[in-house]
This record gives sequence, C-alpha cells and structure tokens, in this order.
Amino acid sequence: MLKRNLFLLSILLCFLFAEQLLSQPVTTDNAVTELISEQETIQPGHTFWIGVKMDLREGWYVYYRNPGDSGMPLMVEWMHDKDFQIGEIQWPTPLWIDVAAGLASHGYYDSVLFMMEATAPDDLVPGEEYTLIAEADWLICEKICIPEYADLELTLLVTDDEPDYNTENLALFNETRDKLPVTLDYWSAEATVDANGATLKLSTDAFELPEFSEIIYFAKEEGEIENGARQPFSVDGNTITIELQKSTYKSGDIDRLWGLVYNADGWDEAGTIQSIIVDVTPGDHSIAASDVASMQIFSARFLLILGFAFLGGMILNLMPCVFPILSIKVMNFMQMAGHDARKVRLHGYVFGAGVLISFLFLALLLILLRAGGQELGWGFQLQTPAFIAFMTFLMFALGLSLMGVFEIGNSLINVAGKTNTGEGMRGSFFSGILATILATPCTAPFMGTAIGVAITLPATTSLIIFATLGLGMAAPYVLLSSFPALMKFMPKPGAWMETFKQAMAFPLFATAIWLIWVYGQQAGIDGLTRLLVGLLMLSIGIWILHRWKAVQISGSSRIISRAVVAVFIVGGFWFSVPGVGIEESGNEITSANSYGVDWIAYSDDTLRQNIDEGNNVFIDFTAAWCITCKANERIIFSSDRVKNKFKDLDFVMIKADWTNRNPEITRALQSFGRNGVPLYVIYSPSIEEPMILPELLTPGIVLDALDKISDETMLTLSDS
Amino acid sequence: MKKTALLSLIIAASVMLLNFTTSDSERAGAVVGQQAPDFSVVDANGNMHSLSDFEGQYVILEWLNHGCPFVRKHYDGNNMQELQQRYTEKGVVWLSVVSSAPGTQGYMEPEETLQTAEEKGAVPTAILLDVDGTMGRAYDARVTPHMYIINPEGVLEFNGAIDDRPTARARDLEGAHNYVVAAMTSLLNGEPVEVTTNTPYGCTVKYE
Repeated sequence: MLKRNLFLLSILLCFLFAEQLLSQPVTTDNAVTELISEQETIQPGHTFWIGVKMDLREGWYVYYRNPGDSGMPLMVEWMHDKDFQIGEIQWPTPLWIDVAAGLASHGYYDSVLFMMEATAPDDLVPGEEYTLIAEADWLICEKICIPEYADLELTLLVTDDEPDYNTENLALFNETRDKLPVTLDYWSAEATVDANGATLKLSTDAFELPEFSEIIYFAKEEGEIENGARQPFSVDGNTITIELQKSTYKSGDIDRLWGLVYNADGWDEAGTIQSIIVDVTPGDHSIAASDVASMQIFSARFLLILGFAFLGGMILNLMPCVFPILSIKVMNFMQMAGHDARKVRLHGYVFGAGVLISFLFLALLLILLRAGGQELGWGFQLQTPAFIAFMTFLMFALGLSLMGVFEIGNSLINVAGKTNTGEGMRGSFFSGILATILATPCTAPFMGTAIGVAITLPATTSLIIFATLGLGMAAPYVLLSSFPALMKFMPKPGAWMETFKQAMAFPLFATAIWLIWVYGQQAGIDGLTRLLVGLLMLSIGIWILHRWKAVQISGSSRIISRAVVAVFIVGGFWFSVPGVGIEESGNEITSANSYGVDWIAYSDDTLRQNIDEGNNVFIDFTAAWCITCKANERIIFSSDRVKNKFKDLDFVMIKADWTNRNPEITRALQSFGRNGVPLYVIYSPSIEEPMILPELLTPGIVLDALDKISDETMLTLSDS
Repeated sequence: MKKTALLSLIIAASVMLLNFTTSDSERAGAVVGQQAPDFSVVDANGNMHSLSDFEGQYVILEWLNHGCPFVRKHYDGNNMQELQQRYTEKGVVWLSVVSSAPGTQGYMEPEETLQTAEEKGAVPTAILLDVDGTMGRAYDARVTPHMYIINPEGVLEFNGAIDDRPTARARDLEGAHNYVVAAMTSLLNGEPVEVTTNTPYGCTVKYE
C-alpha cells in the first residue's frame, strides 16, 4: 500500500517537475504570449536564446520597435534576482500597415517571436533550476488599440554537459532568424539630405541582382522620416535610390538613417534575406561601407570571373588572325634585339603594354557609352526586356560571325596594314596596339560578350575585367619573349585554328538560348516567338550582307542591298521588342495576377471612348510596389460574387498601372486630387459624378457600390 | 540712382516671390512659428468657440479620445486633470478636442461627454466636438493625445507629444519629461521654447 502511494507520489512529482520545466503561455483577450527558450538546459557563463512568442487574434497586430504614427512596441522588464544578462529584442522585419490616409503603422500579424540573447551567470549550479521572470507590456490593435500585459516565467535546468535543444522551439527560432535584418558586405549605403527629406542610395558589387518589385525603408527610431509617406524608389544599374520624406515633426535636416531596408524579392540570390541593416549619417560616405565594397571586388566569385577573362584573353591569341602574329612577333623581337635576352624581354613587355592600353581604351569608351546611355534612360539591366532582346541579337550575330557567315572589322585591318609602326621600342608598343586591332575580326565575338557583361557592371569592375582580358592576351608574348625556349612547344599555325574558331560559336549560341529563356519568362510564349522571328530576320540580313559583298557590287545595288539589310536587322529587333518605350507597363498587366478579369490598360482616350459609349467603367489605379493595391485586388477579385456582379453590369475594367510613373496616369490621379495609388473610380451613365471608392476595399464595399449602380440603372430604365 | 531703385525693386519682388513659394510648399497643418489655423467648433455645452475669441490668451489644445489606452494613461493617472487645473488657474485656455467620427472609438453625444468629464474630474475650459474632423485635419492632429500650444498672438508655439514616454502604462508617468509643462514654463517666463516640435504618440485620431 505504502509502496503504491510512493509510486503515485513519484509520478505526481515527475509530472510537476516536467510541468515546471515548461513555461506557461498566458492568454489575454487578443493574444497568447509565452516566454520560451531555444535550449531546455543551459550552461553557466554561456549564452543562449530566449524569446517572447506571441500568437495574435486574427486581424490584430502588435508593433515594431518604431511603431510608426501610433502605437507602442512590446516592452519587457526582467524581475528575476539572478544576474542573467538579457540583450535587446531582435526585431524581425515588420509589415507596413496603412492605418489612415498618409499614416502608417509598422508591425506584425498572426504570430511573432521577439528574440533576445541571454547570458547565464557563471555561478549557476549544475542540476539546479532557475526561473526567468518578466513583465511584458504591449499594445495590440485592430481598428482600436488595447494595452495588454502578462507576467511571464521560464524555468531552465542548468547542466555541465552539452545543452539540450527543444526541437520545436529551435525550428521557430531559426524561422525567425530568417526574418531578422542582416548586414550584407556587398551592399553599401550612402545618403544625402535636403529640406524635404533624404535620398538613400544602396549600391552593390554583386553580379547577380535580385528583383526589386517593392522596397521599404523602416526607420528603427521615430521622428526622422514621415512614417506614412510613400517611398518612391528607382533602380539604376547596381544602385537603388529610395526617396524618403522628412517627418513633419523634425526640425532641421534628417540626422541619421538607421533601420532596415526590406526587399519583397530578397537581397540575396536565393531570395531568403528579406531585409538588410542600414545605418548612415547623411553626407558622410561611411568609410566602412566603401571598405566593404572594395573588399567585395576580391571575392571568390569575382576572382573566378577574372580567371575566365584572363583565359579568354589568352584564347584570343589562338584565333586565326592573331595566332600567326604571335610567333612572328616573338621572332621579330629576337631579331631586333640580336639575341640580347634582356632586350627581347623588354620588347615583349612594351608590346604587352600596347595591348593592355588598347583594352583599357576600349573599356573607357564603353563606360562613356554607358554613362551616356543612362542619361538617355537606357536601362542596361537584365530586368529590361529590350536589353535582353538586344543581348540575344548580339550573341546570335557574333556566333554567326565565328561560324564564318560574315566578318567584322575588315576595314580596320586595311587601316592597320597601311600604318607604319616604326622600329625599336616605340615600334613594339604600337604593334601591340596594332595586334589588338588586327585581331578584331576574330576577337570581336569575344569582345562582344565581354562588353555585354561589362555594360551591366559598375565602371571600376568593367575596367578591371577589361584589363584582365588585355593581360591575358599579352601574357603569351611576355612569356615567350622572356623564355624563348618555350617557342618549341607552340602549336604550328594551321587549319585547326579555323575549326577552333568555328567551334567557339556554340557557347555563344548556348548563351543566346539562355537569354531567350529569360526573355520568355518576361514576355510569355508570344513574346518569345516574336524574338525568334526577329533572330530569323537578323540572319537573313546578315546572309544578304555576306552573299553580296560590298566590294563585289557597285553603286545603286550596293545602296539598295544595304538598305534591305538594315530593314531586316533593325526591323527584326523592333518586331521582337514591340514599342520599346512602353512595353514595360504593358507587360505588367499580363504578368501581374489579373484574377481572371479582362483588364484594359489605361489611357485617356480609352476612358473617354468608353464613357461616350455609355459603358460602366471601373478603374483600378495601382502599382506593383503598392501593397495596399495588391491586397485590395486580392481581397476583391478573389470574390466570385464581386467578379460576377461586375460581369452582370457589363463593366469595362481598366487598370491604370503606375508602377513606372506613367505621366498620363499621374495626370489622371491629379484630376482626382490624388498624388498616389490606390484609387478606385467607377463611371456609369446612371450617376452624374464618377464614384470614388475608399482606399481600403472589402467585397462588401464594392458590392454596395455596384448595387447602387444597378439600382440607378433599373430606375433610369423604368423611367424611360 | 534709377538703377539702384530698380535693383531694390527686383530684390524686393524676388524676396516676396520666395516667401510666397516657401509658404506655399509647406504641408497643410499647424506649423510652429506661424499663425495657428482658425476654427469654429461647438463645445459639449452647445457654445461656439473660435481661435479669435481667445486673442490675448495662451491656448492649449489636447486631442481627446477616452477609449484610447494612451489617453487613459494620462486620465487614470490624474496627469491630464492636474495639467488642466494648473494652467486654467493661470488664465490659460485649455481646449480638449474630440475628432472621433460618430460610430468610432471616442465619439460621444454632448451629454455623455459632460458626464464623462465630470466622472474623470477633467476641468478643461471647453470640450470641442469636432464631429466632422475639420479642426483636426486643419491642425493635422494625428493621435490622441496630440498637444498644441498657441500664444496670445495666435502663433503656434508647440506641436507634438505630451511627454517623452510613448507608452500606455500609467506607471510611466512618473519620471516622464512633460513637453507641455516645459514649453509653458518657458513661455510664461518669457523664454524661448526648447523643444517646439516632436513626434506625438498615441492612438490615431478616428476621423470619419
């Protein structure tokens, strides 16, 4: 009997003991809150992670460190007596919550973990338990706000051994770590201020840029920027520029941009890093940032690219038009210097310098072209479909050239041949330049590729790449002139060189296929087909160019044939990229989720025509970067009732996409006294003035508005 | 001589133009150092009040919503009532403004407004019922409590938070630096106000 009681008692104790190890969630009106630890056991003097985990009532939210225009973040006060050091809350990337016109909150819905790093005191006794006690206060809001608080406890067992992890909590902590802003060493920040606000510039030396459909800067502290103001941003090459409006309550200029920048598409290649940390004092181009940027230049990835550039430069020497020069030149050096090894070597270096300088000159030309192009508003990025189409054309044409369908730069050879380079060192230097020019017919395809890559990169990076190409090309001369004995290992010039050149066309065709795939992602199957037809036209143009060479025909037939060629090539490009200037906004509609609605793109003419014809018209002023717009669209058009109602009333659905700041749409917005999206307008013959719907839509609001229209329509029908 | 006259005319004209353009680009709302927007709003007793009625007196504006936890912090802790008492005794006009639209948090009928004020022991000069939010929008009042101080000439002296503890916990009243008190102390001593603007905290004003 006693035995049995003891047994029961021990079970009960075990139960109590187990219970104590766990923390107790506290339930308040709108949240369930719990203090949790990543580890079940802790070691004296070691750090571990704890956190306040909150599960919120649906539709309610709690705040970020900087709550925005109203609200209050979670506050935790520690009440335990043991000297546990507990760090600041690690705030996950918040959401932008529009609360009213021009006002915004920053916070979290559903479920959130506020992590903190804790350090156990050294004098904890293994085998003993310790309890962390916290008083947590927070404000939880929907339309109205309610302050809540909870006394939280967490008991932990101290051990000398390796700590035990709580698998469930471990997963939750890791999930939250993905949402914390991080420092990426290949992004650097810079800021300038003016009376109205600040401009935050983020630039990178990364080679593959993520997408940037939506960028938001969240200030870590209140009072610098206007929380609710839209943050227009632009992407230009490797720089993102974000315009921030100064807080109404800030006297003087913005002092510091400290917080995180959220990118909906992620900052890294995998798209897993949601936000990066920024901390810049405007005007002060922080030294740390530029150090970081220059370090990035020597990253493993960049070194790999440089390796390929060097190899590419060396391969240039194997091209039929260059290879014979190589041995002749080195022989030449030896003759000139009369077997004086030192002089031969010097000639080699000087020749190499000539090659290198030609390449740098080319790079400089390219940088100027790029700067000029940016002035003209050309976007040299893979995000721009027109640029991808252009690159595809370039790759395909260069491939054809390598195949021997046509040759580039024949006239350059003629010029080069006539130039007398002179004797001695000066002669070697200029023959270095000459060799580069002579090589053009064979190197152009490679150079084209390099140019294509370099044009998307920052100036310094492209300079380095080109210099490496030049070094690669000059290397064999320098090497052979230094060690003439190596000459006997050189392959003999011959037919193999032509074969090699032609074979090099295939990597270019492969690149073209990749670009076509990228283009297809953006423009769909129809756009892809247009691009292929464009390439067909390009090849016809090139064929004509070669079949009837300029020297073989004369006078008018030359002009006519060249005009036909131009029509084919330019026309082909134009055909593949219809309306280069406006295609982006057009694309937006096909690529964005249309929720099965037949959207028509906005134009003043379209609108007027539909009003004149007496149609019911719904206009959705929206933009890809506007979350509210996207949220509204999802809420409204996922409802079949709303969609059917629109259909029943024969609505013409117009989408005014303001993603690219279309001036026509800007004017239309201004005519409604707005300077931003979202805006929803209904025109109907049954109402005199256009009806403006609220900025935050629900199916109910839209259905009510549509009911009004249908009632009015009934009335007018029965009246007549 | 003619030249100098012409030059000064041009300078005067451009200065005026500059002044015009800068004031034009200023965002709507009340700006410290400028004339505070005028208003005409009926109070809970049915009396009309305009800013011009209080010429020659300091006016303190307090945006009010008794449902808001941040407002409750200052009333439950008796902080707001003490401030009202302290300044109205000195001849300062204290106006509590309710801009909550009917059906939203903080909106009350005049009778209920008076009754609540009595229960809470609030002693403002008047409680203005800005039902359509006209006054609130003119001042760009964003939160409750959002505080403003207007000097006897009708120029805005302060626009911002009541104190430096943006919380809804009554215990944070202790040790808080009250910006309204600081500004009023400076003003009544004839000194310039140290902090004239800062970010107000609280619940958003429940406009319609």
